[in-house]
Amino acid sequence: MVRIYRYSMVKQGFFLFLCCLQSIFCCAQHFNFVESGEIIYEKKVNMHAKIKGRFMNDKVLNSDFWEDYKKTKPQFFVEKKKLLFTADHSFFSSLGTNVQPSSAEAGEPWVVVKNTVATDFEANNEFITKQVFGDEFEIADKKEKILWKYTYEEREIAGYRCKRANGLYRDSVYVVAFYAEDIIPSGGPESFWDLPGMILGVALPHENVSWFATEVTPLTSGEIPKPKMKGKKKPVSKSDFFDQLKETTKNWGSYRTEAIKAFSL
Amino acid sequence: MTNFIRFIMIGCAFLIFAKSANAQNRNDEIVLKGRVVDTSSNVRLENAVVNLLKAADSTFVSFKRSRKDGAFALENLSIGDYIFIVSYPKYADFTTAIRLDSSVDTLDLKDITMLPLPTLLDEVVVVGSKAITVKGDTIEYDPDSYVIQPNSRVEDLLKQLPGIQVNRNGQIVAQGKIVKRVLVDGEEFFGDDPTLVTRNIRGDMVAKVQLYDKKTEQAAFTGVDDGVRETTLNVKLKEEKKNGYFGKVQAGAGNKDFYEGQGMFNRFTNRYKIAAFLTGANTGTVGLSNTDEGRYVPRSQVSKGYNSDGMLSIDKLESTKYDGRGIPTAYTGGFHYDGNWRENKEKININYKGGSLEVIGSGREDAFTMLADDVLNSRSEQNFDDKTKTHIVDAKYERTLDSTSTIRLYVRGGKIETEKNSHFQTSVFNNALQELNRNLRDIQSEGDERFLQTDLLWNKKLTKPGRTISIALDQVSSTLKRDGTLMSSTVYFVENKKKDELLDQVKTDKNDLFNFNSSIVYTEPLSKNFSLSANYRFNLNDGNSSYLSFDKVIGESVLKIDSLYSSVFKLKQFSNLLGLTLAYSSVKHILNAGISGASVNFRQTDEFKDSLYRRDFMNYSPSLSWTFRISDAKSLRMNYLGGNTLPLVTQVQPLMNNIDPLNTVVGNPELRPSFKHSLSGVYTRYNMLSGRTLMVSLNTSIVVNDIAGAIKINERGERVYRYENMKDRMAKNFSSTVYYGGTLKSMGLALGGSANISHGTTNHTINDDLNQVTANTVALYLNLRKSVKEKYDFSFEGGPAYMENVASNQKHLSVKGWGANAIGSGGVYLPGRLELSTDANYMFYPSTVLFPTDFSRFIWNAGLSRKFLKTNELSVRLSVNDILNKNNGLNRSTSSASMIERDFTTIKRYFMLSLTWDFNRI
Repeated sequence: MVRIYRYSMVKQGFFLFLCCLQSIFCCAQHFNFVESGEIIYEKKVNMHAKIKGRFMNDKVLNSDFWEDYKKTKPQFFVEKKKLLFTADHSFFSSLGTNVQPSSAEAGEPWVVVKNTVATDFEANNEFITKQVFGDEFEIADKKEKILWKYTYEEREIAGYRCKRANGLYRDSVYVVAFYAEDIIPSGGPESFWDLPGMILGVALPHENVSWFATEVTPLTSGEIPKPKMKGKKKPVSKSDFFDQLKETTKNWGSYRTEAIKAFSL
Repeated sequence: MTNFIRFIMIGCAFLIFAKSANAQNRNDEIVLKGRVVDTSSNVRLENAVVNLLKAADSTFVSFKRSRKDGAFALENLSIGDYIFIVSYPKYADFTTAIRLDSSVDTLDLKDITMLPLPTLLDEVVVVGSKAITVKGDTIEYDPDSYVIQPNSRVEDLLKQLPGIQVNRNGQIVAQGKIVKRVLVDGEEFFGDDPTLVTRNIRGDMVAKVQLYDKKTEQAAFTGVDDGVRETTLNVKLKEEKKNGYFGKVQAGAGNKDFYEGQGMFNRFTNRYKIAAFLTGANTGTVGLSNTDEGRYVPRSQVSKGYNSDGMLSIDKLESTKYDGRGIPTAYTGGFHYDGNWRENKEKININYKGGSLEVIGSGREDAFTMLADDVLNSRSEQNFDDKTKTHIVDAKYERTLDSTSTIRLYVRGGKIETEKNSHFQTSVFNNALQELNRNLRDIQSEGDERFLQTDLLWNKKLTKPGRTISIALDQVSSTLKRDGTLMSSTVYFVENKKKDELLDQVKTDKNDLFNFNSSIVYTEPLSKNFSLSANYRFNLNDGNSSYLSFDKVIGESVLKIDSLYSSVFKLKQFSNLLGLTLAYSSVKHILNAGISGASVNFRQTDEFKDSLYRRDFMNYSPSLSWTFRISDAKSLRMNYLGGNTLPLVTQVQPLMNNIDPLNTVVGNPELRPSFKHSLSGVYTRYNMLSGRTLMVSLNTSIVVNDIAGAIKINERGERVYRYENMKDRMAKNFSSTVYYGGTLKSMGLALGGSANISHGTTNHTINDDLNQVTANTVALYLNLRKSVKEKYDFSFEGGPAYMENVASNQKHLSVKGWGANAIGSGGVYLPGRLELSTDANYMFYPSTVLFPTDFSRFIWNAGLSRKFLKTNELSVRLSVNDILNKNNGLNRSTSSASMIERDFTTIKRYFMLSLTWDFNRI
């Protein structure tokens, strides 16, 4: 037997009253969900926080550099990204920047890394073309499982009501994501996914990096680009890529942890 | 608003139990299915998000979109507790808790009916709403989760918050501790009188109520705990309610010459707040706030809550207090301004408070003191007329010099005048009912006191994060003058020999004090989590006091000085304190361990007798505190503090005082400091889904080498008090409170219960016999509350308590038994804009051997009011105080050495008609 207790009499009465009003003045609400479209994200890297952190914690940079940087350079490095999506596919790529990165920005792993991510929602597969300091890697693998936690917080992004979820990516990166239930595919920027709606905002609070949607428009071209294999070699798996990454960054010193975090995204 | 509705929905949904006799299913193959439909039209909703979360940590387990027919099925689920949420745009989220057990393999929820959100509600965007949030050591309450009646005040909101109680006088007790400060948006508002916030500011203006133990400013800045805490409530106002003005004017007249009047005006903007008030009443309900507390306290005496810094306590005029005895006539007024400029970089906060309080009354007191072989009964009758006038101004200026440093200047000054007249008639009897002595006294005095306090604080953050320096300088100077007369006649009846003693004296007291304090605190981060802080403080006290007594000689106009009861002192005290604190902080844990040592040098020159008295002490004070943030909903805090209490000058070398010839004090130059260890802990848990709160608190302390009274009572019934260190016995204290409460969703009833146990032991000697007094209490407490907006509200709180008070020297006279306390109140909104409200207060004390009758009191008040004007701003109210006329002024209490019954003039039944204009332009 299933027992469901609901509202107390007073509340029930109140709601019934509202419902009556609703049915008199309006027909039942049918909502037009978004099933495909194009999203422009702004990726922002807080360079002031990055440099201050490095100067304070690692003493890699000296204080004059920081003072000077603070005065002369902008706080954020901004880059536009584009996500095309349909019910079963999505394609994420960079639109590039029109400003030349400063030397500090050019050395920042979170600025340097550029991914093109093609996702197949049916098979839960992704194909990533990753550019790291001029090197290009091609990775084909299953999508990464992310442990998401539900919160009761909400905010509006690009005109959509978004719910907040907190997540842990690859057991190491703390992720705050805002997803719109009004957009059906469970995708998002970079490799973020697996929430009941499209992720329109991602912040990595400990890494000082964020991706927030600025506009959502209908799909202009009918086709989503398919992953293009440029290299002659076969695409590698994620675990192979990480092994390689760990090996190459062995002598990177204090940059290593952050570089691995940034490149593993 | 959407979230609010969602929370109601959570509240309305209940566990779904699935019970069936079907065969056992396998662990991970349970299917949860159902259909999402619209309540009104029964339209199936496609693409609704159906989300299943793990109840333990809200992680996503499975989600699906509903199909075209609204149906959904979540598959491959395992046994456990879940939260099930369905959402659809422009509908309120449906939330329920679900338990999947092994008895079924498919749980069919059938139709999930969704409620459309009215468009009106949808326009308001609210971010995250939780009734209670624990953030570090702050508990944050969200008023939207409670019922706020129209025109209700902050006080009415506070009464609903779990763990908070507000008594009839407006005093707030939170988690068993008295709230000393109520701030508005983090700013002081009329200093330390909480009712000026809680009974003035409207409940619907409040965005958040925060409860925390406020640290000193230096501790807050440097992040290093100095152990000083003040339980503080911060009322955060809604931004949109901060532009406009509001207030009220109330006037009432009653029979028997009772009257009551008050006016309050507030003008708030984002840049400044202005408030002013005026009250006048003789009903004991307004204008009684104790301004004495906030008069001035030199920094040295606030530290650690102990007087570890010295022996000197400042002589202050005793202000008039109203504690239910006599008839009080009170007038008060005040003005407040706070404002900021340059994006909050400059802040100013000015308060003035002034008033007068006169209490006139008469009564009797019956006290029993237990000796080893006798019980003395002192019976006295008393008339009194006490008056105090106060004017206190304070101003605070704060300026952010740059992004790393701030400076703060605080000035407080005031003037206090007192006038006291009392007449006593006392007789002391022994157990055999023989009268030992009889004393008649008339005491009259007039006092005048002025003070000025200045504090300067400079804080600077250095380039390395966590490295800070902070310097504080402050001074207090005060002058006190007191002139009085004493007439006393004592008759002793010992061994049938009558002996008389007559005193007719004029007394003049003068006391000047200067206190200077400087302290410097430096913090150094050791690593990401550890930091070290060092502080040094220098304190100087410089005082001059003269207490002179003159005999009136009959026939002569010149007064003759009474050298025995006169003294002229110069006091000088230096103390140097050095402290070190190690702090650790991570996301979950905050740990603080500290030690400080102080050397105190005290010098007293008696200019009258030409003698010098010196004492030098060395004090140590260790401290340890630990805050463990177990999760968002659970937190634990533990605190240990140890410290010396130095004997007071009056205990070591008291002034010879004959103001009460039957009770005199002699000094003990051998007194050593005592040492107190105190340990306290609080555990808080708030369960969001069920709205339940659990709070467990524990406080315990022991005092080693306690400075305890050694009373000698001679055969003439005279008492001589002396202080001695209790070498082999410790004074102990233990108390613990458990509170559990929540809301019965089905009835909309807030329900809570608490249990309190306390145990205390103190020691003293009477005529060299040790007397150990043990006091034990077990109290149970229940509170109920239900409010329906614009319909009714009622509340009840109270419960029984078992009390036990045993004095080791006269065990058969112990007080033992059950007492009880209860307070009930209710209000109903009737048709025709009428409102009926009533409240009642009951208390019961058990009979004892010495007071062989039970004592109970039931006081019932009620009132009827009607609102007028379109806006309901005007109201007329007819009320009756103490309908049954039962307030007899009787009161019983037990102190360490004696049991006392008092019976004084009180305010009894009266009727009152009052008019209130409640205005609000926000």
